Amino acid sequence: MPVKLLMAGVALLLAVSASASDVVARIGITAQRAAMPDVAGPFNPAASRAALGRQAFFDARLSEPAGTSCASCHDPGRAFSGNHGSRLGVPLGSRPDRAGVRNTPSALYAAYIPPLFFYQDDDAPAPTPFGGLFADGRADDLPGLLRHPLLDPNEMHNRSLDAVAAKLRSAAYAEGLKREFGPKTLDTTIDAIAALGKVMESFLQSREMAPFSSRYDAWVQGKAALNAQELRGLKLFKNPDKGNCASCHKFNETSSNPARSMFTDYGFDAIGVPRNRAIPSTRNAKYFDTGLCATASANKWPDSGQWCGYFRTPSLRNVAVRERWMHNGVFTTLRDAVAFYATRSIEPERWYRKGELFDDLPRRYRGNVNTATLPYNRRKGMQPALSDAEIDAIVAFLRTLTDTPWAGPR
Amino acid sequence: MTNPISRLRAIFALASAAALLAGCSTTADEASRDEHVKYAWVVLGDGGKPIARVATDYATCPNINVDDGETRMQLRAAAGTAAQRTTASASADSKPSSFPLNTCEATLPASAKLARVGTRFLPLPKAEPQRVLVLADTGCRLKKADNAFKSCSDGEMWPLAQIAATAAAMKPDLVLHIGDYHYRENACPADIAGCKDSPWGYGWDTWEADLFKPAAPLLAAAPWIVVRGNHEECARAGQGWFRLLDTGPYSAARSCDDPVNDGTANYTTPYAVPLGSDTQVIVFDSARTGKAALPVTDPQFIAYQKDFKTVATLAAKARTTSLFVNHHPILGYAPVAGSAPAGGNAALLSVAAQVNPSAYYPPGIALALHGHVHDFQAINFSSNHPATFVSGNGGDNLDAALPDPFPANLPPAPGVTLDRITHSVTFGFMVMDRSGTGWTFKAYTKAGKLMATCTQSLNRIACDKVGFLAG
Repeated sequence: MPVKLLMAGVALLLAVSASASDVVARIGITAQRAAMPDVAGPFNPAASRAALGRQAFFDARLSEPAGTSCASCHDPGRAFSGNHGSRLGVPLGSRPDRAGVRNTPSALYAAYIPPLFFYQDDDAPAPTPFGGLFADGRADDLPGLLRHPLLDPNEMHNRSLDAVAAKLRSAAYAEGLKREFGPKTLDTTIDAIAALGKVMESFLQSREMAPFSSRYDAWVQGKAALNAQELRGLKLFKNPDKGNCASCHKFNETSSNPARSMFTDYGFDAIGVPRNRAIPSTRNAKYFDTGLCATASANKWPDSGQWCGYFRTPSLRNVAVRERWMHNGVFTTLRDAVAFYATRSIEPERWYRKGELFDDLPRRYRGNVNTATLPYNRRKGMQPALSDAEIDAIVAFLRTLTDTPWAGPR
Repeated sequence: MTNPISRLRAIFALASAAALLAGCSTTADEASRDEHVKYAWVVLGDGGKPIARVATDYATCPNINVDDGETRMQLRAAAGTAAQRTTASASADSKPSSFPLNTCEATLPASAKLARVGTRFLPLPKAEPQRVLVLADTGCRLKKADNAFKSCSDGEMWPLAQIAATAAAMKPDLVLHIGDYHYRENACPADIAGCKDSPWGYGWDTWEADLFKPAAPLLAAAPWIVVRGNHEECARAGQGWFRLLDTGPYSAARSCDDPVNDGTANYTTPYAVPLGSDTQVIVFDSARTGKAALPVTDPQFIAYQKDFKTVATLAAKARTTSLFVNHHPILGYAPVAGSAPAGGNAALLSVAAQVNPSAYYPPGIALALHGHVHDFQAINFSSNHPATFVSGNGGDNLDAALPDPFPANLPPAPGVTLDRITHSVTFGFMVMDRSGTGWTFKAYTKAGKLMATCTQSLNRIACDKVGFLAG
């Protein structure tokens, strides 16, 4: 996991009673926990609520103008990722002339993401953050998350939550919401949005949104075989001298609980992906998506700038089905995404315009980029940790993480 | 040419075989029968005093044959289970530490040529050891708070057994373990096959699984100099540390059984172990050190202050090269992904700087060796500070690498000037070979591939490679 010092942060650590909970301190307003959370799930949402959430998820009336639902970007045809028909690497909004700034993450397995917290192992020099929804961890729960895409002018573009609540009142599933939460649940905006959050949460907790039906899962259960290249890729993925992928994309192939194989530790890392100049926002040379530091600032972490460039490590389940890769959608193939890790600093000209390392970050934050974790610790002139054949093997292994509905030929 | 010890061993082996063929035990003493003596090893204490230890399931300690004499070993720590004490884990994830075996010991004469318990020969120190095997941070991590449950049966993931076999084949004269032997703190969840049925907690079974079984080739190969890591502080594996490895007398006050004694049992007065006539290892216990600089009035500051003064006295020994050895790096680095590496342990530095201003170490300390950071580091300074090695890549999860190239003007402590650093983050170990009046230090991978060679001259080292070394 990436370890990051909290410079000058000691003064802001406010000790709280460890006996009251597992919160041992607060960094800004974010809890520092005594332990990593237990493995989440399995969830057992009420079927009626999950069904309502599904209806809302596919409700194209919830945008302004109408026509864009959650599923427009979180495309069920692409394992609930995708970019709403865009070829930019980021999704189009409800207005076709507008585009977002980040690649759409898969909504699958989102229920397993813990709220934002800090944790420090006793061998670690400082606490590090984990969890939180969005790539910058800024939301802790579904109600908190929903307002962002619903109101973002580059996404669903509603003028206000009042406007969203009004749409909910006339939705086909409005009566269902009232049945679940009471006849007055849609009377006020706050209650209506809370109800939407709850049913959406139930939908994300449903089996449909966490199928654990990949060939990898079947192999773990002894119900399928991986071929020699895939097994080689798995070994390379784990090997700390080679891919070392599992140092962040954690999994446990010996566990019968598939939730121990989420292929993420929910930590944050700054890997310095190249700038995606197809994103309209990047026409402004001063525009940068700096990720976690905005959350750090909002949560009053000391020296929030040290977190600029950090994004939450995503799950790799269904990674092969994505339309684009990395938080800014800069890569068009999964192989490039893997090769980038192995050769980022060895062949900067291959990845960065004019070979300018970490060009999607302001210069003052480029020192935040992780140059320590293998395999991207190499410098120019060194042998990459992975050969072409080894990259291919890792890609082959990653393809085994595709759940059954999307596992056909693409 | 066969040496005398080998001849004696061969003669004894023939005699043993003959006895077995005759259906007899090799010893009439039931306590000394091999089936009772589960493990036997030798640790070197203050002054290099060799102490033979065994773990036995028999009520009486076995006899030990030293050269021509036979004596009964003394009981060091009786089998037993102390009442549950507070541990580093939640009470629901803790249990009393059970030690079903007696630990017995016998101090051996430095001149001993042959020592045997039952049919098992014990490794004895040589007057002038030529090769010292160095390793640290070797256990298999099972820790609920980290959600870390390593596949302890997977040699790729936890390679201590391979390291021990590879290293033992190099026939070291001594083994220097720089702390963190024990990592199996919490129960393996039922759904994980990779650590299924692993023992957990701090009792004998975890010590056997984390150290005695996988490191058996190394325990048989040479006596050990044992250094205590933070995993062996009282709230963690301290009880086993005192029963099995600590080289001082065992007592209730120094057993970690009762937390009331932690204030003293978490500290050990430094002592020196000679490596022949011209070199000594000074062993420093930093098991309980924290991460922040200590105020001078802090009891820990006072304890370490006293210890550093003892180190100065030990290091003042004339015509002797002193190697300072403790778990936490003092003039070493800790990698930090996305930031400059952190320097040495702030708590120890705060004391070292007060006792030995600007120098950190007293005169006479030539080199420092550490573990704790899970990598290999060989650091030379252009300022007058002891070159430093970190050899913490012995089995637990590896750390991120240090940056390459290493940032300029980044000292591990104020007033120290880095000259060159060689580093790696692959599993492995280090070997010290005597070379003239000094030592040569070699970093190896777990499979025995030589990665770098560093030669010592006074308090400097020169390595044949610089920067990051791929495994």
